[in-house]
Amino acid sequence: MYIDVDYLKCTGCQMCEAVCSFKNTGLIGKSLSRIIIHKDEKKGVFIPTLCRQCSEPKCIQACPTNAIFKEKETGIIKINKEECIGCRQCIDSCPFGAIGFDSEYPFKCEICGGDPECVKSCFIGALKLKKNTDVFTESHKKIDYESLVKEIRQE
Amino acid sequence: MEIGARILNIELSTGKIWVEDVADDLYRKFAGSRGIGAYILYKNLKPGINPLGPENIIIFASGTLTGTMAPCTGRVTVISKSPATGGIFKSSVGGAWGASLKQAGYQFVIVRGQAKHPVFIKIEDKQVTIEDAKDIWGKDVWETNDTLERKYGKDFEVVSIGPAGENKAKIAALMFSYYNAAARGGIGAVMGSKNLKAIIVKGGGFIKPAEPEKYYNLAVEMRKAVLSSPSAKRYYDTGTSGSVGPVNAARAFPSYNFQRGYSEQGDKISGVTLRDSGLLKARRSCYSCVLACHRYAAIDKGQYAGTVAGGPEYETISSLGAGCGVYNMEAILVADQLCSRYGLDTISTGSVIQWAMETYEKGVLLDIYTKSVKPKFGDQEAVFKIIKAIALREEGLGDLLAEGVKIASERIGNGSEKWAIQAKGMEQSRVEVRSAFSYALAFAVNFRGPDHLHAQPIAEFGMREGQIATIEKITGDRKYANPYMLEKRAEIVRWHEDVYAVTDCLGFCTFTTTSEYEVNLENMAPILSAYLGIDFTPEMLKECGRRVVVLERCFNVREGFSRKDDVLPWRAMNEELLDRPGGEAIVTKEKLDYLLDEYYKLHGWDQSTGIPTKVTLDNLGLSDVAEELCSLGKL
Repeated sequence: MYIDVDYLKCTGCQMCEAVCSFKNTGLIGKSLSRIIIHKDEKKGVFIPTLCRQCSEPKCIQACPTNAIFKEKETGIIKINKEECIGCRQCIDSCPFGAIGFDSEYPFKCEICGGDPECVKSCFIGALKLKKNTDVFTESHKKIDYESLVKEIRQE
Repeated sequence: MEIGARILNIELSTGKIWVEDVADDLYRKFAGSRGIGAYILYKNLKPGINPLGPENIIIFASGTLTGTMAPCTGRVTVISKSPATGGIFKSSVGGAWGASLKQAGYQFVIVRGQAKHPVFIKIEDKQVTIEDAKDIWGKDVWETNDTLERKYGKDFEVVSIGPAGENKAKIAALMFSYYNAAARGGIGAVMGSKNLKAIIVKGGGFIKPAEPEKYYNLAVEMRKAVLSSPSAKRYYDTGTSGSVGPVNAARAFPSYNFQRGYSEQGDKISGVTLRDSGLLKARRSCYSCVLACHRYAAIDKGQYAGTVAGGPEYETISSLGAGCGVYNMEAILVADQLCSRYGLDTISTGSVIQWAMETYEKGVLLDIYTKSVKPKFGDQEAVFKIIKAIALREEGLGDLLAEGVKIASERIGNGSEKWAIQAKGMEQSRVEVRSAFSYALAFAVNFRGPDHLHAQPIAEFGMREGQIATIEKITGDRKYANPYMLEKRAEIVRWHEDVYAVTDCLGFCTFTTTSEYEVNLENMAPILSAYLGIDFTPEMLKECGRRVVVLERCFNVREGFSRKDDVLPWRAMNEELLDRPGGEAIVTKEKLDYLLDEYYKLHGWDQSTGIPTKVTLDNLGLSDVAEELCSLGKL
């Protein structure tokens, strides 16, 4: 299971950031959101950035305490806070830049337990929930957002 | 509210920075941004001060719900004394700046005084600093954004002025990011007069509504309501420019400086054409907006290849296109881009240019103004040159037009005042008021000058059931959904004023409260209550809206405004609109007087002066304002 992103549809409203932070923390703020819109206002490009629940997760490989694990049933990657030492190596390893930090622990999208709020709130359908059996198979290479913006604008 | 509700004060003359809380009582009385801002402006300014002097202040006010998941609440209202009108001015803008400000812990930023040299303000949660602007002063808006982004990264939201604001052009805009403008009233010039180039904001904090779950659920319901509206799809599909076609068909699309209301070539510059021509590359939203009416357009080939624009909007197309006789979408994109970069209001810029064109063609524009460019209708290259000349205040035509069309026409004289499409010193927005009397009244009484953002009574056209139902709710009878009737226009306008004021205060975009009214007093009251933890009924909220409108009027009364200023541009009152078939299309003085009498009576204001009475002010809880106006001999 993962949330798929359609860059070309996103209009940059950031509604997903507001609802995500609220559902996960009870507070509203971009800095608490598990999904971030990477905005290039000048070129009118908006790239939703969140965990793709990778098939070969770099974050799990990077974690020195095995605090990050992939749920067998759903494929959702979760962080076990009890094992986490807050070293931030997972943050550096993530090819999407999709892991945040809340002053003690890293946090990431865990798909709201299978019923993600961001997908429900995305009026234009730029975010789509893929089923249990679907696996994100695209490149796990580090994303260079500037190049991606150029690619989208065909420069 | 502990979070996101503070007032950040920055005194540029001394460098002093301090933070205040917003008293609950201010929310009870004025609901939010526009209202509380008006109150702060009223209390802080002495009458008669120079809008471009250090005594003026600029208030940046996020909506009370801005920065949250309430749909289409990304709006910021900027409030100041306008150098164009000499009255109070509010300008509403979208984007994500306001949301960042709220998440940084502030709803209001008040900029006071005047810096000794060019500066910009950097807000990063509790860290607020005044920085040297030598690297960005003189740069255009896009270069300014590029430079700031290179230095501070993408997480800061930027509001800045371009050369037009630095040069104190009275039609200069504040530009939020690259394309969004708090355009009108010359507030860009106020920022320039303060030597303030930009304010950049990064919000790393959070907002917590008083009743979180309730608030969230109400926001979700509102989102569904907004999306269910027939206008939602239109805004997404063809943007505001989608209305070029229907407005032109209704013979109400101003062209050639309001000499005509119909353009044979109108289809060339419509939102449908923008979409189908391949120029439209993307649709953009403001923060939390589910309509995405903004455009991103780019020209790939031909003589203007490489041009990009964050639009163009309906108003821009009408003003820089049809108004100037330019029926070329690519040329409009070029003009739009120039205005964005120089930091100019596209409505007023197009207005002053087409006034110059008519003046030139009528042979009364002196040669000294036409040395470098001859303003002729239909000449797009002339439009581009004049935009630059205005922003840089180039000697001759540029410097003349930078003063706005009122002052420009007074300087030229020879009857050119008659085709200066302005009132109160502000150029009219691109609405034909000669065949729609609620619009005519709304434009005449608008405290900031003739435009559609004070009250937009489009429901009077009764084009859809939702609109007719609204008119029935206001007047008690469906038959009043008829723009050619004079009866009940006062009721219709006042109702829209109330609702618009509340809409602005809470941070909603007026597109959600226009015409189909998916967002309305009935659903705004509970969501505001859940946010603040203060109980509002729809009736109380409506009274807040009324209080805001009356307070704004009182500001202008203190500056000397009265009934004499509630007028329309000369052309609208003295020249019939020729393109409208059947029926007389003109707002004569007699008709306007009738409308004003009814409107003042309804408000409980003095009919001969248009000034609110002491009793009216007392009843609205504005006794402090009444006392001051009494002591000044105004009441």
